Parts: sequence; C-alpha cells; structure tokens
Amino acid sequence: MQSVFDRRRINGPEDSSAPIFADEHQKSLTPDLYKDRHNRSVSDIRPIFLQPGLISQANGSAYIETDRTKIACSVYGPRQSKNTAYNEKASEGPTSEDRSIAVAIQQALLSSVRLEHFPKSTIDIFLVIIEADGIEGCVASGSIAASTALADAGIDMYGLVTSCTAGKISGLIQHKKSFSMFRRM
Amino acid sequence: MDTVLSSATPSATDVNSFLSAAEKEALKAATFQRLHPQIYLERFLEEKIRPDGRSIADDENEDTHAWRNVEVNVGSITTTSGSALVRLGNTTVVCGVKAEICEPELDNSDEGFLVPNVDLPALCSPKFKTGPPTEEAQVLSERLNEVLGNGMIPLSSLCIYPGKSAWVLYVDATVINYDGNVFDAALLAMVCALKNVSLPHAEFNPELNRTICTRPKSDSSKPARKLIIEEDLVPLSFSFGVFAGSYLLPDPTASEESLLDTTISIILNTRARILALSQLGTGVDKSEAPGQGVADISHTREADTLARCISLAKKRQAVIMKKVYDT
Repeated sequence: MQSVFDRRRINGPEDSSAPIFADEHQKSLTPDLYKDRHNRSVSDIRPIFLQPGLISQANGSAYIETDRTKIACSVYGPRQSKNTAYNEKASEGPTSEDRSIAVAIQQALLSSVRLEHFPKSTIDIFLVIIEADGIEGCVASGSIAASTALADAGIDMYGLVTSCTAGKISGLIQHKKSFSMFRRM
Repeated sequence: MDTVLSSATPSATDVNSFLSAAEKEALKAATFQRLHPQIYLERFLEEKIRPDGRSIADDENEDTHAWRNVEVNVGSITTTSGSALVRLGNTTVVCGVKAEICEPELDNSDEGFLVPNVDLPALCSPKFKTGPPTEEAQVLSERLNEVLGNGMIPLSSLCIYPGKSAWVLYVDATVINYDGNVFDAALLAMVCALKNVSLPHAEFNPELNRTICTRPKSDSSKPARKLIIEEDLVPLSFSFGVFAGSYLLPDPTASEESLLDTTISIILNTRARILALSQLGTGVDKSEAPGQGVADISHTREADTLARCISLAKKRQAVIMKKVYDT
C-alpha cells in the first residue's frame, strides 16, 4: 500500500506493502471441497444476521453480517436540500469513496422509495463496510442493509429490496460467493 | 409550552390524536430538549440525575452507576491482524489493525511503526458530513497517537531485520455510533485490538532483499506471535465533563457533550497509576466566591475537582480491567 502524505491524518512510513507469504498456492475449489470448507453446499446462501436500530444517532439504521461480510448502514433524512432551488422529488445521495458500490446500491433502492412524498429533501444513506468478502457480496448485503435502514427510519416505500449474488465456476451456478472463489473464475 | 406547540404546527392536533398520553408527554419533552437543551439538562441535574438515568458524581454518590455499560468483542474481523469492537453505552467504535512490512527510518533503523487513526464517518452522527477528516477527527487521532506512542508497544519489537525490514501497524478505528466520549471508547478499542494482534512469522532474506512471511498454521516451527506489550504502559482513559462550572458528569453522552464547558480526561495504566491528565476548559467556576481571595478558593476547588476525577477514574478502572482481561 502506497501511503500518500495526508496532513489530516497520522502518517506512517512513506511506503509499505502487505506481507508476502511463502505458500501462496491454493488448490482450486471443486464443489465437494467448497462444501467441506464452507459447511454448505454450492447452491445454498450464507447465513444472514440483520439487525435494525443499532445506531441511535441516525434516523434509521441496520447492521448486516453474511458470514464474513459486515456492513453497517445508517439513514439520515429527509433533510432539507441545500442546493436545489426547486425539486419535485427528493434525491437520494449516497456519497462514498467507492462509487461503484454506491451507484449499484442507489440503483437498487431508487425505485423502492416514494420520493414524491419528500419534495426538496435529501435522504442520505451511509454505509461503512467493516469487513468485505468480495465486491459483489458488498453490493448485495449493502442493498439489504440500506433497505432495512430506510424502513427503520420510517421512510415511505413501495417495498423492501433484497439481493443476492451468484457466479459460475466450471459451469456450475453458485450463490453468495466469497472473494476467494472469484479469484479462480 | 402548549401554545408554542399548537401555533408552530397547525396540524399538531391531528398528529396528537394518534398518540397516547404518555407519547404526548414524551413528544413535549423531546421538543423541549431540542429548543432549550441547556435548561433541559439543568432541570435533571437539579434532581441529581442525568437525562439517561445515570447518577451524577457528587459527594454522596461516588458509585459506578455514573458510567455507561462497556461491552468489548475482539477478533471478529478476519481481514485484519487484530480487531476489537467496543460499545460504551450507545457509542460504538470498531478498530482493526493491519500489519504491513516496510523499511525502517535511517535514524531509527531498528524500530517499526505504530500508526493510529480515528475516522468519524457521516454514518455515526448527523453532525458529520462526508469528506476529509474533520477537525474533531484530527484532534482525536492526535491525542490517541500521543497516548499510544507512550511505549505500550516497544517499537524495537516490531523490527524484523535492522535497517532493512520492520512491521508497521496501521491501527484504524471507525466510529459507528457517536454518542459522546469517543476518546475513551476509541482508546479502549485500539488497546484491545492491539492485544488481539497476531503477527505471522517473518524472515528477511538478505540475498533476495525481501521479507517472506509464513502463514500461521502451515509450519509449526514458524508460529505466529502476539505483540510484545509493556503492561505497565497500557493506557485506559476515563473522561469527565463539567457542566455550568459545578456539575461533574462522568462519561458524557453526545447531548451532554455539546453543553459542557470543560472536559477532563484521566489516563491510567493497568495498575491504576496515572499516565496522563488532560483538562480542556477552565474547569470549576471561579465566580463562586467574590472578594474573598478568589484565586485561592478557585485553586482549591479546581484541585478538588481533579482529585475527585482521579479517584472516580481509579474506581472505574477496576471494573474495566475485568472486562478487558476477561475477553
């Protein structure tokens, strides 16, 4: 990891890298090996823990854990939009550094919220990914958490959003994959 | 109060008809807190109680019900070398330690690095927005850096090969829920995360000029190791707020924090000896005793306050030690 000098943070050495391990070689995962290692078969999804209301400071919040993906989500809003003169509908603003995940989650949620009930307002949805097991897993778990947080906040919605990822390894379809599997596709 | 409510919101009567009597009272109280936060807090403190039900630390009442419940959970984040999640009441901080390899500095060629940082994301409180670290985050990071850099982790223990290779520990704390006293929670999270760290066995190969690590379970002759920690220098922080120059509030919540004029932090080690003290603000009200050698009285009152904080902190430290060392 190349650390750029950021005067707003405590900085470490100019240059550091992740440790390199002697044994990087790993066996390719067949469905049987997958079942042994992950304790579930190829077509099962990972067990989910979803809890709303853990963040007391937010209007609505949710925390989701799917095996090794842990995401906390909080919703603030509807808040007054500062920079829109006249806006017929509310805008949902997911602002984050990782725009690809944010945009994907926004697309998933946009049609479920009754934005016409919140003129000139913004509904802010913030996600913190505490532990990630693959980008697609983050998008899926993040959408579920965000939808639950919106419901916890009492925002008018048409329904809840659920999401799942699936991938193919050697012609077989597998659900809710983990990062180590994606590397071998 | 009723006229304020009914004139401001013409449809209040419609909303109120759906609420029970208890809910209406709660709504009035919440509105009052929003409009007059200072008076709201004063009314509680006059009855010797705080809005969340805890006691204040006055002379008769030096028990530990003035502090919020602490919960600590370590080792749940597998992508880190060590991690901890700490809850101080509602304040929630998660901390992860990432161990990376780097070259040591020229003038400290046998030392590694410890880099703590606190992140206050927009998620944790309505007062934060997205963007670069705010002043508050920077101040927190700096204070934590000073406290942790005290020698708790001897930097020489992070050296792999003098002059060539050393460990750098990035200790990153993220606040998930900001309900006051983030400094105490973040410090506890960092300390617990560091205690949880497991470094893989690392060997520097001078011919290849590279450091090679061994995965923990793959070779039993090269096991992973825990960090070397100087137990006498492990810091634990206990913070207090002073409200209106007279009330001492241990472990303030977010709503109390915004009304405090002074914050006092006492940092103790595992044997309840003082490692550091900090006071931000004037402390006790000096205007209490006019004419009669004001300076002397205020000095004794200030010293009293500080002494009280120290004794309360020591009492609380015993409770925290059980939590930290039993996890």
